[in-house]
Amino acid sequence: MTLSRNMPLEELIDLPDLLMRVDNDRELLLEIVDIFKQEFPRLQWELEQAILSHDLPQTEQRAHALKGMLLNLSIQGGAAAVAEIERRARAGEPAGIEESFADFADALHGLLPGIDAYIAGVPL
Amino acid sequence: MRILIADDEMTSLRLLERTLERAGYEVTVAKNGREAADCLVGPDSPRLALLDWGMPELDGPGVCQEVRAQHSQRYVYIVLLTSRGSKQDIVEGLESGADDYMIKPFNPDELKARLRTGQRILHLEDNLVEAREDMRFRATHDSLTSLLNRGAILDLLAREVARTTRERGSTVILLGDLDHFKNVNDTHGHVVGDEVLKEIARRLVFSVRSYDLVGRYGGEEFLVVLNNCEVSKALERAEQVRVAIANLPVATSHGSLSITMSLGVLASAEWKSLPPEDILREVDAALYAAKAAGRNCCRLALPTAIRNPVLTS
Repeated sequence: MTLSRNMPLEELIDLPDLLMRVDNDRELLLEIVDIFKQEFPRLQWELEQAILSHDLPQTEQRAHALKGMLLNLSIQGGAAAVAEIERRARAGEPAGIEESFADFADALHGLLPGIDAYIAGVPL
Repeated sequence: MRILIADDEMTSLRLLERTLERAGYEVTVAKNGREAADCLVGPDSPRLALLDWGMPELDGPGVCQEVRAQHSQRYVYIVLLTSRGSKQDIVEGLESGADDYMIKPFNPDELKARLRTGQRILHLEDNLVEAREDMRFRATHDSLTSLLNRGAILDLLAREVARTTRERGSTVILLGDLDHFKNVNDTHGHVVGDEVLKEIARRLVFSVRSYDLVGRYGGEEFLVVLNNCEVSKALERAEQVRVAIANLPVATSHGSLSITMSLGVLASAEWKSLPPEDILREVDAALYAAKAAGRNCCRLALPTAIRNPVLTS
């Protein structure tokens, strides 16, 4: 999936995949979303700082961590975008990393404010 | 079954924890590689582990290497669970000592199936270890009395004497023979004879310290090796063993029987670097002396120089 600016949540999150992952357990789903809301801004900020300071090993590590978290929430497009940042950092290719991060941040801009309401409406 | 999960990413950790708890596992959590390695090499550690690759302090392959370097008696089945999915990563992960490799995000059913595979392998390993230990026991122990058999007790005697000589200590060797045991077999049959031998073996074991060695030397002959036992105590300790046999009749299926034992005693410190075969010859001579003295007694083997000291004017 290609990311685009302010993508709607139903396109960002692969809901059937996410429900399979939590075994249709609403309590666990809410718990995971809660952890995500706390952890995602920190990891995104750490990745941004690593990119801005041109620290490729740290960029690779933070992108890797962020990718894992996004995959757990079945946000495959977001995960693919940071995977590309991780790949470039690991390969020692800084060109394009800042632009990729900007696209990623743009696309996921509406994720946190809307995720509670979106998850609350999931029929289980 | 207990399982360790190690991951520094909180959503992964919680998803894994809940999935595995629901599947019946008792979950232990580690938030970095160092914690995971310490847990897995510690006593009573979990035998299943799910490790992330990238973790603070020590990464997943590093944990695998530390665990494998321990060569622990209890095998730990390790699954690396990571979003690093290249062939090179998989090879590197497995080469580090992981048993299986899964790529994140995990499918709960696949994860559970792979862990069941791990459990099957651990079960097989347990069976193999048990069979090996059983064979080792059979190879070194007497099947009737469960004491060390002749080969094992002689090996350990040689080792103990060598150690004692090296450290200038003293080992006391007792060779005991049941008095008139042939009469027991002839009068009551071999089944009762076996009952007597088993009870005597039990009394011998309980009459010495836990780190002393007791073996069945022959039919009704027993060899006892008392480690770090002073020369001055040799006869006293032998007497304790004799009394433990003679004091109480042995209960058998044909009623109670009075059983006694004659003992030859040798304290290694009184003999200069005597090889084990010579020790056995000398202690056997002392046993013969105990038999000649009327049985149910102990006799100490002494070198000629002590028995007949050279008198100087």
